[in-house]
Amino acid sequence: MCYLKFSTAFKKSKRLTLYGTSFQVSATMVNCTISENRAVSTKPNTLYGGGILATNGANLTMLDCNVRRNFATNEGGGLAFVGAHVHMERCLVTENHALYGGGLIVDSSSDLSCVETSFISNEADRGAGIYLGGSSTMSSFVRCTIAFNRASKGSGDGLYITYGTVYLNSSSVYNNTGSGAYFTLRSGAAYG
Amino acid sequence: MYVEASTPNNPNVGPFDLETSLGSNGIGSVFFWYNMYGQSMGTLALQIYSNVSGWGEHWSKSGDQGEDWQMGAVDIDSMEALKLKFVFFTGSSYTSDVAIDDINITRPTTFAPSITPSPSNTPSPTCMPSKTSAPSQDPTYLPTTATSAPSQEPTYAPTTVMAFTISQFQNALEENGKTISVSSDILLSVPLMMSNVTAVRIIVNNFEVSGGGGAGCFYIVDSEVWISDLVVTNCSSLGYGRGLTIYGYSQVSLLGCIFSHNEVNTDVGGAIYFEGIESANYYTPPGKSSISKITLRNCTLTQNSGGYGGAISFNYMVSDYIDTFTVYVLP
Repeated sequence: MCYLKFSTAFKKSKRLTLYGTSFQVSATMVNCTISENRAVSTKPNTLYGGGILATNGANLTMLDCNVRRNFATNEGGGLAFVGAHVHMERCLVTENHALYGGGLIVDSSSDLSCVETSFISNEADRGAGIYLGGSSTMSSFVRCTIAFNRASKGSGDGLYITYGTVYLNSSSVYNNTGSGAYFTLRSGAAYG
Repeated sequence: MYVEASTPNNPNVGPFDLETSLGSNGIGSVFFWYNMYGQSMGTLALQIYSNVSGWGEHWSKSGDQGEDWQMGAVDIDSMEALKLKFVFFTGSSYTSDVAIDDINITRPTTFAPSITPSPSNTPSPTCMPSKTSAPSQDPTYLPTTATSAPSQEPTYAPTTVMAFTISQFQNALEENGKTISVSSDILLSVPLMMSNVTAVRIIVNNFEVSGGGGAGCFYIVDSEVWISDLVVTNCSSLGYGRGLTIYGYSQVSLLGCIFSHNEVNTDVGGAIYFEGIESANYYTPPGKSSISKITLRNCTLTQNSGGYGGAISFNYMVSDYIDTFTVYVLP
């Protein structure tokens, strides 16, 4: 079993600054179920967000939502955040499938804060649970669980991190097939 | 509002009040969420004050309502209402904590906003909702209101509307009052009064847009819309159409809605596409702020398909107003 527990994040900085509430344009989802949706086409390498795509500066808050069994041909089987500002709390992301980022992909100057959110049993070639890429992305996971995800190409079954800044605080990454967290940072930093 | 029922707040202690002034605009409907979980739960009530009749109770609930949050929906529709308050009495023991959250108040249907509509979407005066269009005495059109027993559901056949327009929307309300079955486009292109829209159950089924550029089942532009129990299935389009498309300065709230088996061929948002763009192409009604907002609560989106965002795509939202602030201060 691979068990990684991160509990020291922020102890030096004490705080994390994210983009916040003064949104003039916003989307909120509370207690919603997003299941068995698909982002599919014959066009290769262009399709993402089997469940939800938030992009181009979208401000999205998801509370107590269930994202399960969605599929994307390319990226973000459950969720794709591309240039978006997203807060997730008490959500469950399970059994989603994609080429990259089975449960979630974060890309292109996005910022994401996850609190008490679980990414369970998702599948992808890389980053089965979560794929974090794109320059200038910032992601934080507080009291989150990333477990039982499976990457068929063996890289980043739980987390696949390539770019940006990642904070893991009091979160658990365990029982993912192969590597729990795969850090291949091309730029940015990871704190945990 | 949260009331802790531990000693000394039991047994049967109260009233605990949450009161607000309504100004001079009156009140249409009140939507709120409450949690009344506990074996000895007391009584929560909604009261309205007017100079004509004083305080009057419009809604109440007693006893254990289960662990989950429940939605309250109360249609009042009064220009005379001046104040609103929630009143709670605890029960026989400490197991009667209560909480209220997310209170939304709509304008009355008799309220006439000073709206100059977009030149391209000029409605006729007859399009404005009237109080007679929705019988306010029967609460059964608010499907999540717990006081509505299933046996009290409307028995009349739903109105089927083809080529939906604002005036037809209004006519359907007047003819039918409660349920509208739609089999063609709905175009909500003027700011509708929220209470009018919330008072109707809109059912969309087996709808198909053929050809590119279709708007899908729902197309909302620069409108304030509150819809509950909306069911959108089998909407499809080869173009930008999908189950629900929202553009411009719209504020849309969806409660308990279901979107299933909707499809947009290779484009974005199989079920819902929300584009809160700030653009010269969109008209901002006088007195309305440039706000685009969508809220989905207790909604299910399943088995929808698209090229990007199989269920939902949130796109092209302005970020000029984003401020930075501190989210977490950790130990």
